[in-house]
Amino acid sequence: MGELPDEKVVRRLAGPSERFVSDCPKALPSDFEPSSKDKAHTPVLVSVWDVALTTLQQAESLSPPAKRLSFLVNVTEVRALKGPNVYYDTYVPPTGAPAVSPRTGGHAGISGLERGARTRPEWRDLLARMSELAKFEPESRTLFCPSA
Amino acid sequence: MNPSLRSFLTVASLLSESHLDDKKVLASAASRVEVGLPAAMDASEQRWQQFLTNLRDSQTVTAAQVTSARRVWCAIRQEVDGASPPQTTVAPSGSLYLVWQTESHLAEIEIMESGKLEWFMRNRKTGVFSGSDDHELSDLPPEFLSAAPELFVS
Repeated sequence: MGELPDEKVVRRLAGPSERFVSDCPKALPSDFEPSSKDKAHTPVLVSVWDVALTTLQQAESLSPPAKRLSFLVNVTEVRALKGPNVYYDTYVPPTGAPAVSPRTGGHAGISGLERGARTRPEWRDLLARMSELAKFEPESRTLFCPSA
Repeated sequence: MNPSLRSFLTVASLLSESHLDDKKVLASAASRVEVGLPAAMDASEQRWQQFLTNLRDSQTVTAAQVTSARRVWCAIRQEVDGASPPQTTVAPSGSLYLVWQTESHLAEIEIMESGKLEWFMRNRKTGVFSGSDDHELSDLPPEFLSAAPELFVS
């Protein structure tokens, strides 16, 4: 499980699709909350994709079908939060999905975003700072962004 | 009594009475005025209210979550003129999140399946934050409503 080099950019496909926004979406703290699947992994890794290795379309096709929003995050900035880190991770396709292929090599995960021993406000603060780093990728599919 | 607390308790009381359920609050101009909302919904609130209804009808979230979300909205709308409906999403945990973001602040309310609440607020410029810590509140505390009214206006 290797660390991603600094200056890499990763893509977070936020879900689920049930989302209300009045303008172009901003990432929310909850977009970086580990899912139950993420928490089953040791260490807990919030799923992301290296944009240099896996395109948006590939990442979407390898993710559960849903209307997804994509946010881009710089790895160096994630590390500056002091705690989270980003690692390449073996991609495990969901049942019925295409077998593992070279394009899945960009799968990675952000560690250190689980609550752990933090108080709730400390944890939400970490997720809020994480979400502030994320930039909306207008190419991602959305029904809610009129100007995308 | 603190005016914020009094107005919130009025809303909470109205919405907890069986004769004034959230559908009536949405449908009736008189009921909306009674709980401190403008008589007519603007387009943005209409979309948000419909979004909540859809979440409830599709059983994506519980009825208790939607009722709590509407109570929170009534309280904030009553307190803050021109408040905008929050960004709203359902987390993997099943919690419904209401989020207001401005350049300087972020405020977040988590509504659990039971309808109980947790809150969090952060000043992005100073990094100062506060929030509930596993308190599972029934109502929003006045400190949340009075903290930074401009926060709720986009």
